[in-house]
Amino acid sequence: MVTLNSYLTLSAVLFSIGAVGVFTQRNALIMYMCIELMLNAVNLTFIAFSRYLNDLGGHVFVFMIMTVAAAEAAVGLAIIMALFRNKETVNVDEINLSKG
Amino acid sequence: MKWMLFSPEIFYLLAALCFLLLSMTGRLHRRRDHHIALALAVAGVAVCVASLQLEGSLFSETYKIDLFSQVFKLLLSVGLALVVGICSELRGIQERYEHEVYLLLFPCTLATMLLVSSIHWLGVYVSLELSSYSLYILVALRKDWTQGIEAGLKYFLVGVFASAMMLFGMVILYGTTGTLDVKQLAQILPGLMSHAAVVVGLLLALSGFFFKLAVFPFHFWAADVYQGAAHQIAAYIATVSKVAAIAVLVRMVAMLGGSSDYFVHVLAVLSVVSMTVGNLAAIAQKDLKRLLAYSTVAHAGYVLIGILSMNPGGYAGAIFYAMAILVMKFTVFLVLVKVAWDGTNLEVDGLAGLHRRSPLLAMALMVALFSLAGLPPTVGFTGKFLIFTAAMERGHFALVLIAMINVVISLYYYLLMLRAAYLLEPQEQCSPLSLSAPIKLLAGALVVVMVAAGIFPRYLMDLARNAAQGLM
Amino acid sequence: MSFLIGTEAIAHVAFWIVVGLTFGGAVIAVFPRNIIYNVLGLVMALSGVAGLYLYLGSFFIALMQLLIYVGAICISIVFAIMLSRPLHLEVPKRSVPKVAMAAGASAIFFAAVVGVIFKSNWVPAPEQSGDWSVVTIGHLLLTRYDLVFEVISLVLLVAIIGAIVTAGYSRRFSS
Repeated sequence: MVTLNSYLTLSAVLFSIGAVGVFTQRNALIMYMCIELMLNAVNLTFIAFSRYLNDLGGHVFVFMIMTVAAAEAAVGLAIIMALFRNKETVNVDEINLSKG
Repeated sequence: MKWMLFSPEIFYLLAALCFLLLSMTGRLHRRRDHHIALALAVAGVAVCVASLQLEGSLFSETYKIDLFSQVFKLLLSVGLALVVGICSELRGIQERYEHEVYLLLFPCTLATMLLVSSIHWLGVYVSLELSSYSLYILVALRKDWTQGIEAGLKYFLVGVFASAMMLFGMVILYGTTGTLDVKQLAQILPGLMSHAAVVVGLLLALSGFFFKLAVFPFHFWAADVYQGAAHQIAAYIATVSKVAAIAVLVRMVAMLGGSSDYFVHVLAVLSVVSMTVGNLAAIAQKDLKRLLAYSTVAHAGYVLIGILSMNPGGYAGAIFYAMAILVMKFTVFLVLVKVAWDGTNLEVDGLAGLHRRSPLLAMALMVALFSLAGLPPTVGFTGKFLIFTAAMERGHFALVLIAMINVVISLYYYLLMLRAAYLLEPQEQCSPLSLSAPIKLLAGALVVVMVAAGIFPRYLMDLARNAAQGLM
Repeated sequence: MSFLIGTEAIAHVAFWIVVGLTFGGAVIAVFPRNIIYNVLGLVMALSGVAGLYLYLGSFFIALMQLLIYVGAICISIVFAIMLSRPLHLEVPKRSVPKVAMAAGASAIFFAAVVGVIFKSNWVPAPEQSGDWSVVTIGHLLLTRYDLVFEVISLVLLVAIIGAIVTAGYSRRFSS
């Protein structure tokens, strides 16, 4: 049987890969995709715990995260596209994103 | 009449719907819209005052109404009314979208109100996202669209990253305790505080609010977003959004903080780094809004000292400081909006000659800057005093010392601003600023509030203490 | 005995295939610099996660995952790429120190999390029964979590208005 720890490790891996992407990629769209990956890692953990703890709260939470993710896609993609079309760039360096 | 408990939220929801309908009519009546928004915002303050004494809980105990939440709701509604008050000329925003500014400001305030009352991670998460999304859009609506969209994108990416971190923290807490209800968590956690998982989870779960408050690892959006957003929106972010973040941090730490030394140490490190980074970066800034952004980071550090003291005095100090931040920051932004009346960004030197162009605004700026720097007899001094004494009681001497040094550093750039306003001569002739009577009255009232609350802080202090009492 | 593979073994193999899909997809989503590969990788990873939900027995969530993440979000990302990004633009080089720092930071984070995972002893629920049907979830949404359910509709409203406003913005005012 697959244990809880393997799910948790897998989602930690997913989360970390996503985090690496957020820090290394320059393309705003890919950064956004990496963040989606991180959210999925969280979702996976929620479902795994929800099963393990026999509590439906985790399922409801995932339900909400997914809905918020849809809203997030709408807002984020609209902003990213507005930038693309006007500036012909997606590279966050060129829009001084990484400047502190 | 249980729904009475929910009346401020219902009111703001209806106000938002009102603007949804108005924006569908398509015709822009700037003055009419502003008057409606102002009337609704002031009525909202009245509703919040009326519901100040309410107590109870709603929605299966996931929504708590107590003095703490009601005080913060009042603060948030006052913040919204003040910000709407300076929206009479939205020159920094595309004309077509002026409806949408109000349409988004009201749900955003509603979301912050939901935040201060929610005691369930799910409610906290969803209302945080509601307030964030409204702000991402509001920031992107800047008239100079490249600036606005760039700032909006940066805000969005950092915000979504922070909320992913927050969710990861919540899921760790969920896994260790099996509950998402903060109230149940508060009963389970004290016994588990020695577990690494709990401390890591708690810190990560609070990172969404560190982002809102612009605390160190999540602070680097602040300067660009303040600079890129329209002045009124930046004022909103600097006041209402910060107050809400302080409220949630105070409530969560008070309920869950327990007595973990690791947790306190990490908060102390965050606080020290925020203060130092904020103040040092602020010195180098030329743009007024960037400077204000870094000063916000520094103030977030001071507030954290109050929170990490984890005693009633510390919480009361943090609540008092939230009130102070609201008034001080807003006054500076009021001056900014009036001096940069065409909606463009202002350099610090752009304040030159202000004392001749408008003595009233110059005085308001002076009092606000003294207050931000923490000089007596202003409200900022009292706030810092409360926080530092609370920290001393818990023996955080080094922390208070570092904070004191930081206060001295911050004095430098606040005085630079003051020098620009009072001593520098403008390069070209500037006409006197014409202010409408209500704005003059507002500026005068803000000055009086800042000084009076500094000299006679008793009433506000008692309010903060009572609010903090209910938390424990 | 080799032809007598039990269902458990098949399930086990299926599980590892799904894990491989998720992991491989995540790597493809993050590291290549051609954005089409990134999207395809994301689709793979998200489908893999849907498979894991199935394996965990949450059929409804798996379906939602496919519908929302793969069906809606990934497709709209593809649309965003097609509608806007000039694909011929030069992709900037990565700076090695930055990548190393990011990898280091994430590795530390990963190590910390894995340490936490294996050091904590998670306490399972006493009994593994319970009702996992959609009906129960729906019931919970409208009773215990009704506030959240209402607020989420407001989130969607704000997001839709925001998307319309920002997307309409550029076209009209860019020239």
